[in-house]
Amino acid sequence: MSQKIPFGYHSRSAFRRVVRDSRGAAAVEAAMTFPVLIAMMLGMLEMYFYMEASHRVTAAAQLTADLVGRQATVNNGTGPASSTPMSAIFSASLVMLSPMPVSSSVPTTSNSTNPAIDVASILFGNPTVTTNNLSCSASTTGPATGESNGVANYCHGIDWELAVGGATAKANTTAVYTNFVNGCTASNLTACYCVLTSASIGNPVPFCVAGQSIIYVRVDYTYTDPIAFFFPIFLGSNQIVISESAFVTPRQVTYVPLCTTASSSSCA
Amino acid sequence: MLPNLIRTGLRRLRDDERGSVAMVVGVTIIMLTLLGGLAIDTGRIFLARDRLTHSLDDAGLAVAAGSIGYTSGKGTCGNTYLTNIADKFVNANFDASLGPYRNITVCQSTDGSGVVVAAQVQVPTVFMSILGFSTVTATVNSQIRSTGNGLEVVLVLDNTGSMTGGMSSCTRSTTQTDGTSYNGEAFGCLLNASFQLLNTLYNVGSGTTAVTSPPAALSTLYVGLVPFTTAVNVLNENKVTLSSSTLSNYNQVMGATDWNVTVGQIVNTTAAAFTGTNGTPAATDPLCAYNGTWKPAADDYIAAMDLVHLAQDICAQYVSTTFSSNVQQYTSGHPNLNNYYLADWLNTATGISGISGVGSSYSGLGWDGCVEERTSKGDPQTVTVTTSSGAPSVTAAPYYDYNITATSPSTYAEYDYSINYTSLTTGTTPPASQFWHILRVIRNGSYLPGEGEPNRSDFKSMYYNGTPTTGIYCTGTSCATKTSSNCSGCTFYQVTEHNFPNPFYDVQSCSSYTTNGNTTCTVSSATTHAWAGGATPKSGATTLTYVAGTKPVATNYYWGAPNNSGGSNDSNYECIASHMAPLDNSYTDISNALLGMNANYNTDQEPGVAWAARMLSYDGTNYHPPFQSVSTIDATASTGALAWKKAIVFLTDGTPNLVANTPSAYSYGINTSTGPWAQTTMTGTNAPAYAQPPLAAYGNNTGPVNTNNATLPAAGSNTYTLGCSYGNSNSSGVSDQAQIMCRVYQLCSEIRGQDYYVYTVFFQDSGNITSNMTVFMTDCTADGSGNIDATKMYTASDQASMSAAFGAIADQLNNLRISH
Repeated sequence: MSQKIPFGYHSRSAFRRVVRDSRGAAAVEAAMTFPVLIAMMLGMLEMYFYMEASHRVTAAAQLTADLVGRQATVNNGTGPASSTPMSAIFSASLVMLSPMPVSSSVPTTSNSTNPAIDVASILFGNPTVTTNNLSCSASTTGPATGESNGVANYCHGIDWELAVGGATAKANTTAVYTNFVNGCTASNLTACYCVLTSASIGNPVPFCVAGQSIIYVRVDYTYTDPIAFFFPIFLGSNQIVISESAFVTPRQVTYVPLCTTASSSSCA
Repeated sequence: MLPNLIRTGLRRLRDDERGSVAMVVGVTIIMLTLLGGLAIDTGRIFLARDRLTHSLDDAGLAVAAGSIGYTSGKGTCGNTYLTNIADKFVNANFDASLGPYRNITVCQSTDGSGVVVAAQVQVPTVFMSILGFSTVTATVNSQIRSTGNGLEVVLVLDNTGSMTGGMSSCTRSTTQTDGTSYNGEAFGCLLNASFQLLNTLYNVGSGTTAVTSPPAALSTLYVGLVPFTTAVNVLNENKVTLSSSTLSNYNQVMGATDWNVTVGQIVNTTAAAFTGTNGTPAATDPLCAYNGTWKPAADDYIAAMDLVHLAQDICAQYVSTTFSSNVQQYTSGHPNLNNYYLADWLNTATGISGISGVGSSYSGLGWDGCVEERTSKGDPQTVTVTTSSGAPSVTAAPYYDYNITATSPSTYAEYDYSINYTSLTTGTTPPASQFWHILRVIRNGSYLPGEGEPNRSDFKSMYYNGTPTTGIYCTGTSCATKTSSNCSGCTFYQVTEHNFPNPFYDVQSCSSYTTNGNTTCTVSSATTHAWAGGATPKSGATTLTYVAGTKPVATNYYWGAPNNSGGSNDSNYECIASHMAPLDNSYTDISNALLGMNANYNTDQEPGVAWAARMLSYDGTNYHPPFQSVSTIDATASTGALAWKKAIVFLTDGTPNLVANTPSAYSYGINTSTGPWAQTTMTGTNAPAYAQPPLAAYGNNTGPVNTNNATLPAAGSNTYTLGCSYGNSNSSGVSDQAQIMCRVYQLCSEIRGQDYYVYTVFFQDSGNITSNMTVFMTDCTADGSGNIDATKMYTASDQASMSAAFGAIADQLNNLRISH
C-alpha cells in the first residue's frame, strides 16, 4: 500500500530546509560582501595608480624644465655641437614617466605622442628693440598696471616655444605665463614678479631685465586607468589627461637660446 | 506578552549564528576603510611634500640668481623681495589642490654663496579627520649653493697689420668708429667673433654687431679689452685717478683751477697765470724743488710722469735761472724743453705760452700712451704676484729673469752710486736741490766691501746718464756737436775714473775742451765726486751669474725715452690707437672699445698678455694700478666662496717680432738707468727714494732691479735659456722671436699659477697654422686650476671656424659665470 505524498511536499521542505539550514552561510555572506571589498580595493588601487601617475607627470615636467634650465643653448634637431638637442631632454622625460605606458617615439613637432610636451622660453625685453626673437611692440604683453621693474619700458613674451607630441602652444602658454609674470594688482604690487624692490636687498634687480628669461614646461599625459572600474563610472571614460607645468629660471645663463642651424649665429 | 516577545527575539538573535560572516566583514570594512583612508591621506601628504620640494627647488634657484654673490643681506632671513619671488615660483609650480602652502622663508647664507628656502604645506585630510586630524602640516626646505659668482674676462686681441689680410669669408658690413671697413679682411672676422662673444655673454643673441639698444649691465660680468700690436696703449683718460697727495703737490704749482683734474687737461694755457695754492710757484714747492721729498704715488701712473715735467717747466719760470738750468740738465739722452712730450690728453691743449722753448709745441707732440716689449734693461728682477684668492703671495721669479747658468767668468756684483752733476766738494752730501743720477758699476767677479779698488778691467759696464763708460758728456741745448769726445761750443763735463774707494768717479765741469777730456780738460769749477752709497753694495744688490759669451753689452737694451723723432726711436712708434678698456660691466663701453680697434703694425703678444694679467690682478684690497677704478667689484671678487672667476681670451695671428723703442710694458720707460723714474732706489740723505715704477705687469715691484743686460739669443738659436722652443727665427731672421715666445710662455705660466682661465685662438689661413704656433698657444692655456688645457686652444682660419671657436669659448665663459 502506498502512501500518497502531496505535491510540493518535498520542495517546500527543501526550501524550508535551505532556509533553516545554516551550513554554507559563510560562503553566501562572503559572496555577498566580496564585491564590496573588491570594489574598495579596486578603488584604492585606481586611486593609487592615479596618484602615482600624477606624481610622475609632475616629476617629468619638473625634470624637463630643470634640464632645459641647465643648458647654455638647446637645439631642435640641428644646432652647434655645443648645444643640447631637445630630443635628448624629451627622451629623459619619457624615462621619468615609465613604467607607465608612453609612446615609443620621442615627441617631435610633427608626431603625436603620449605625453605631449610644451617648452617655452619666456623672455624679458625692451620694447624699443628686438631682443632675440622677442619683438616688443605696443601690442606685446607688457607690464601690468602699476608694475615696474625700474626700467623705463620693458615687455615680456615668448621668445621660442617648442610644442611637441601634439601639445598646443602659444595661446595657452601666454595666458599662463602672463598670469605668472603679472599676477598682481595695483593694491598688491609686491606680488608682481617684475616689481623693483631691490633697494631692500641692495642688489641690482635680477629679474625682468632685458635678456633674462623663464623656462616654462607643460607635460600633458593621457592617463589610461588600467582597472577601469570607477573611472568609467565617474568620468565616463577610463582616460584622463594629466597636465602639469613647471616654471624655472635658467641656471647657467640668464637666457637659454634655441639654435636652429649648425651655426651658432642661429641661436636666438 | 510584549516583553516576552522582545526577550525571546533578543535571545534568538543572540543565539543565531547565521550572518556571522557579514558581521565580521561589516566591522572589517570599517577598519579597512579607515586604514585605506589613512593610506590615501598619507599618500596625499607625501605627494604634497614632494611637490612642494620641487617647487621650492625652482623658487630657490630663482632667488639665488638674485641674491648669491652679493654681500648685502648675508646671514639674514625674510627679505621681502626675495620672499615674493620665491612665492611667485611656488605658487606657479605647486598644486594648490593638495593644500595651501604657507610660511615661505628665504634665508641667505652667512658667506653669501647660497640660500635656503623653506615652506610649509597644510594638507587637508579626509579620513584622518575622523581621528581628529583635519589637517597635517609638512615642512620642506631647499638649499641652493652657488659654485661661482661672477666672471672677469679680458679679451687680448691681435690688432696687427697682418690682420688686414684678405679673407673672403669675413664679411662685415659695419664699419669701425673711424669709418674703417674690415669687410673681407681677417680683422673683420675678429670683430664679428668678438661681438658674437660679447653678445653671448650679455645674452642678447649671438649677432656679430653691437645690439642697437645695449642690455643692462650684468652684475656678475666684467669685461676688459687689451688690443695689442708690438705695444699696448694704456691710456684711458677717464680711468686715471691721481692720489690726493699728488693732487696737493700739483696744486702748489698749478692752481686747482688751472687744470682739469678729471681729464688731466691743462685749462689755463698761459704759464704766467699759473698760481698754485701757495701763490707763485717757489723753490720750496716739492714739485719745483724736486728734491726727493716728493714722489708721485705709484697709483698716479702715467699722468704724473708727464705732468711733473710740465710742472717743472712752470716752476722754472718762477724760481730761478739756475733752477731752470738744473732742470734742463736733465739732459743728454733725456728730454729737455725742446723735446718734452706730454701725455695724449695734453694734446688737446692749445699750447702753453710763456714757457721758454715750449709754446705751442706742446700741442700735438704727445706720447700716445703705448708701452711695449723690452729686452732686459730696467725690467724688475722680481715681481710680487697675487694668488687666485686675492691674497698677496710671496715674491716669485719673474719671467724675464733669464736664469743664466753660471759657468765663466764667475759672478759680478752691481752697485749703485749717486753722483752730482755740478759743483760738489769731495765727500760731501749734495744739496737737495741738485739733480741726481746713478752710476751703476757692475764688476766682474765677486766683490766684498772694503776689498780695495777694483781693476778697470773688472767693470763690464758702467752706465752714466744713459751712456756706458767714461768720457765727455755735453750739456745744454746749444752744442753744435755732441759726441762723447766733442762738445764744441757748449758746456760739457767729463767723467773720469778716480781711486777707489773714495772718490770713485769724478765729474768735472769744463769750460773748454781741447783734445782729450781725460788729460787736457781745463777744470773751471771744483771737481766733484761723492759716494752716496759709500763702498757698500747697494741694498738688495743681486749677484748674477752669466754664461761665457754673454757678457753684458750695453747696447742690448732699449731706453724707451720719449722721443718724437718719427723714426724707430719715436716713443709713439707702432703705437696703436686702440686703447685698452679696463674691466667694465657696461656693454656699451666694451662695445665702443671693440669698435675703436684698428689693425696696424707688427706683432708681439707679450705686452698684451701681461696687461691682461695686470687687469685681472687683485691684491686683496685693490686692483693694481692703474685699474683701481674697478673697485666696484672688489667686494664680490674677493676671497672664499664669493671669489669670481677670472679668464683671458687671447687671440693672435702670427709669430712675434720685437720692436723695442717705446716705454716698456713693464715699467714706464723714461730712461730707466738715469731718469727720475729709475727703478733703482737712490741712496743718500736727500736722494729721492722712488718707488718702483708702477706699471710693471704684476704691480708695484719691490725687488731689486735686474740690470742684467744679457744679449739676446744668437740668431738661429731655437732654445732660449728658459728652455722653451717654438722654432728659431722668422723669415727676416730676427732672433728675438724665440725670446719673446719664451717670455710669453713664462708669463702664461705665471698666469696659470693665479688659477685664471686662459682660452687661446690662433687665427691664420689654414695653410699657415704651424705646429710651432699651436704648441705655443696651447702652452698658454689654463684650466683655472693651474694646468695647461689643450681643449682651450682653438685654431681658426675663416669666419665659420672663428665663430665656432668664439661661440664655444663664450659658452664656457657663461658656464664659469653662473653655475648654481
